[in-house]
Amino acid sequence: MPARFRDGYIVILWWKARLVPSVLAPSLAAFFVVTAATYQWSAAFPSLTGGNGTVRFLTFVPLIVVSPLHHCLTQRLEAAELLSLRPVRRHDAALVVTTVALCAVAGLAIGTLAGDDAARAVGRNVAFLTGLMLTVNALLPKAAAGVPVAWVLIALFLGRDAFHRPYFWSVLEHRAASPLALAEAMLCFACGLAVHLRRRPRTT
Amino acid sequence: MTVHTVQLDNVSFSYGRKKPRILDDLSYTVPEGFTLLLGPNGAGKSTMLKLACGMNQPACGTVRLGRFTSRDRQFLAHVAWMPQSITAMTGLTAREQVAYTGWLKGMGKSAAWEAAAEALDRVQMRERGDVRTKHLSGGQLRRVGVASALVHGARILLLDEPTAGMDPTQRRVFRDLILSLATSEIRVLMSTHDISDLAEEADHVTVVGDGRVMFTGDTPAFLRLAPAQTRPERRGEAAYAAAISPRP
Repeated sequence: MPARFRDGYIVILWWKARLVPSVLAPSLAAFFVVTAATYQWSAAFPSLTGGNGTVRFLTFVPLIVVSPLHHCLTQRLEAAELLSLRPVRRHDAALVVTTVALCAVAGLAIGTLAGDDAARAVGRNVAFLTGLMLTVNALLPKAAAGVPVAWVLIALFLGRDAFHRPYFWSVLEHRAASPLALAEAMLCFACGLAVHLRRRPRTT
Repeated sequence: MTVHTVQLDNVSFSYGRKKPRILDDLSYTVPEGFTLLLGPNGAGKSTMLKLACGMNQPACGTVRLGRFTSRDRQFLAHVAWMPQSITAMTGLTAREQVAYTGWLKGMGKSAAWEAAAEALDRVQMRERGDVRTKHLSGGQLRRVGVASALVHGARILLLDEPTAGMDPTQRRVFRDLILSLATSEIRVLMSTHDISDLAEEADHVTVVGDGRVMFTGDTPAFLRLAPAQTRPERRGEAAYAAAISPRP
């Protein structure tokens, strides 16, 4: 194998170890396709806090990326990475930021082209759920995979008042232009990244 | 060249402030050659190894390698730890997994790739280097673990019960491998419960119990702890029983 190729190849090992080519890249592609293909889909959905409303299919779409991202970040050589001399957690953070940025750009592009508000908000929702997943992953690793799914369901069942207005905390159901939801999503994402970068995984 | 060793000086450790101390004011120096670390379950063997490799930091005392403490990057570059269970990374071959470990330890990219082949060669796994780790047997995966520990040229190898769950044949092969690694330049400290297989092969034996070192010395001194009438094949176990029994 030529030396130049070998040099690049080892860098690719980190990508391979994190399943970027085999899991994350296909899930990103699926996210783009599903967002573009289903931004108009909606269905009647019962709310536990008052009346029935419609739910956009796009509310679920962030999970196409967030759940695989969690799976990728947990593919670790535990011992070697804890004793690593390389900034692996920073590499992971860069991967997370890139993934969220790609989703945000794709959502904005699709939303702008289609004139759809929910599609424009999908990147924000990916950022929020990713932040939630990273925060929980650092504190309660076993619960991290389920929390984004649980949040989507909570937002759907309990996140609207009797007039179908989303509560401030539900984030996912807010309009793309909502500054409050954007601030909450950015805060949650920043918190998740900070916790991911600073907190050392527990050893038993 | 001077080969420094890992020294634990008056080290105490507990997993949480309110938890009981696993190690209490323990001092220990990893001896030359191949050392067996023995002790009952919960005695603190794994904790001691995790402190010695820099994975955990002591609540009191220091862990040193020459002039470096376990918080220094240079410390981590010279010590390798092999955990009880080796992770088989999805999608990586044996050589890729070993090279990845070398890269994590700060090796250059080409150097890690070449060193991975050499390390696999040392554990007689070169011909399986292109096999995905998910497809390796438990024994082969342990060899990959040893190769990963060796890849960056560590001087101190800390192995946490690497023979647990192996059948007697696998244990024998693995024992021969570990014995071949322990040289004047590499010190091996291995925790185990397989006393009978290994006691007479080791250069030194250390016994821990109740968070402290109950015995440390060369193997003949350890075997002399056994009562005089003990049958030769039982001497290791008898010496261990004598080492952990409370003294008057």
